[in-house]
Amino acid sequence: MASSTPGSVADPVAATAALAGTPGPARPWGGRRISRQIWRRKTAAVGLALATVVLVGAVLAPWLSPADPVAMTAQRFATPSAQAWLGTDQFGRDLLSRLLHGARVSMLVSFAAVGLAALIGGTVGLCAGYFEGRVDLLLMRGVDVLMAFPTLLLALAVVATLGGSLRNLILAITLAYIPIFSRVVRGSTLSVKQSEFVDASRALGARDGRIMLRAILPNVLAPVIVQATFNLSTAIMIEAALSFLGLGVQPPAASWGSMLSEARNFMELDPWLAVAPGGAITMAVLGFNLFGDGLRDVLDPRLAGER
Amino acid sequence: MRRYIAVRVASLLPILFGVSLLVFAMQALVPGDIVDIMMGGDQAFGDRNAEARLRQQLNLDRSAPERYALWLGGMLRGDLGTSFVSGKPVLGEILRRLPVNLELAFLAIAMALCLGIPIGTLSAVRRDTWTDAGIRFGSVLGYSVPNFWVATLTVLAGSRLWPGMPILQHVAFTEDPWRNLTLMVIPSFVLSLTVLPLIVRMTRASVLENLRLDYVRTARSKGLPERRVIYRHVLANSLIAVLNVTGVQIGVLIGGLVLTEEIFILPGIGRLLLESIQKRDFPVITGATLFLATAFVTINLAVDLLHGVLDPRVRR
Repeated sequence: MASSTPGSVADPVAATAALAGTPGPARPWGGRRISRQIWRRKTAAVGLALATVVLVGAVLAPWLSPADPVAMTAQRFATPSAQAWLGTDQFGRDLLSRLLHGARVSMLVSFAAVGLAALIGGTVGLCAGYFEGRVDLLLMRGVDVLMAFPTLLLALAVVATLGGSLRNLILAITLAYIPIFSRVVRGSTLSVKQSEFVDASRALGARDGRIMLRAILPNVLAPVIVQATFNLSTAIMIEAALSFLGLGVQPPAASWGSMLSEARNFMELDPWLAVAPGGAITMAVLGFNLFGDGLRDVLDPRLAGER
Repeated sequence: MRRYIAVRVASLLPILFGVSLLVFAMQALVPGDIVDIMMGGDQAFGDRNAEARLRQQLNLDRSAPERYALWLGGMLRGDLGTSFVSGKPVLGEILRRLPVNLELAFLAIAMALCLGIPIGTLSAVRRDTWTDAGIRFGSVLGYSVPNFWVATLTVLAGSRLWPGMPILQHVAFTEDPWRNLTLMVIPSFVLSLTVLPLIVRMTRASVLENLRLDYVRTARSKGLPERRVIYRHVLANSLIAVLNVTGVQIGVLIGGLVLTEEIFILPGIGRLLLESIQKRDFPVITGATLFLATAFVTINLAVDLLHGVLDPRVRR
């Protein structure tokens, strides 16, 4: 439904779909070359650094946190000090610990949702592109229906019906992201399928499943990876938005969105409580966006001229 | 052209059918029994007769396909059901709030285009200078900052630094147009920031792409001043791509509306949706979701068609 402009920087779907043109049975990218090139791009390096900080914070939250994120103390609205580096909130809970545990929720939800969506959407796209015909028509009609909902609205509708919880957040974002991956993979599959090595593989007697997994899949992975990086950043945003609206992880558990939402009641008293979680969201989203930009530049030379 | 329009409009029908099926399925997936949820807060709780009557009223005694057919039939006649809470028709509630959404969305898009196109063009013309770098960094930062955070901080700044700042109130346009506009400017501007960065990026990319083309060389070599080349030739051709990205961004804008209305306390469809989610008022939830999705696909189609009108190459 949504029209895309080929070659636009603003449209990762179209931009990454073009990658499928990179033929060859081998992996179209080599790990070392890419890391060197990305490293050379400073912004991508900054992005990677930011994303790494958030990821490490999320993974190590239980060990890094100076305090229990839900333990209330008498020290309410405390300013940053040696005990509480970022101060405390309206219940005297340690802000830094809550931010770290919020990162955990954010990363868990975005990685799980994007991973699942890439898996399901990728399978749908691979089948649609490989078999074409009726299978394609049927699958892509389903995808079109999911595309008919604005992303946040679809996610909102899912958590509204099923209730807010970690599992439902993941489910909601997965559902909203399936169409994007289906389209990217389908487009790439359609063009990779024309390659001679696919014909060769078939001539050697390989079955459909083997051709799809061994010949086509490795060649459509690059656009999927680029797309996934961008979707991680928007998934962080959607998780935060749903939690902000009270439809995400339920209190007292910490999540960036719900922390910001709670802070609204006290922000005239202590503006810092509203500033900190938003800053954390921005840092994470910016990290994945910058990294994604760099990754796309490297993996998609066609757009390199527009930098 | 007429054939192109007919084909595109016809392609909308199966999608809308699928959308209705999905929304209906969600309603059916609600954990627990709708009647129990409805009766939960009611004095008639436990009254078997009242429950049975309600079930019949909601067609819950029928099979799912039958219920879907009845529900869809109602939709097609413009009957989106009745709110559990207010007892009023859902469509009326939605239409009553629609002007707020239209105004917000219109102002936000207008502001984003008025700012985004000049900024993007500047960035392209000054390619690889500090201006360009600054604008590009600003646009990446712009779409990394959560809009609901900016909105929250705007409200905070309003209460702290500028006590008289006209926010968190709403006056209908029909009541007092001037006051309405002054109250809507700030929320609309904040909302416009959701789409501004991509418009800037798109304008920049599109202008750069056009600058490489032969017609620009022709225009320059026949002695046209650079200003005229940029504004009359390049920009005019770049705008089609900008139109497209604006269409794609309508989805982001609809999501943004929900949050903006919540934070600035504006009585639009987004707030209606959130309120009905809190009250588990399912007819309103499904009605508003269906309405917004339909609006989204229709606007997208309109943008596509407009694209076809402006650029004959699209029509094939």
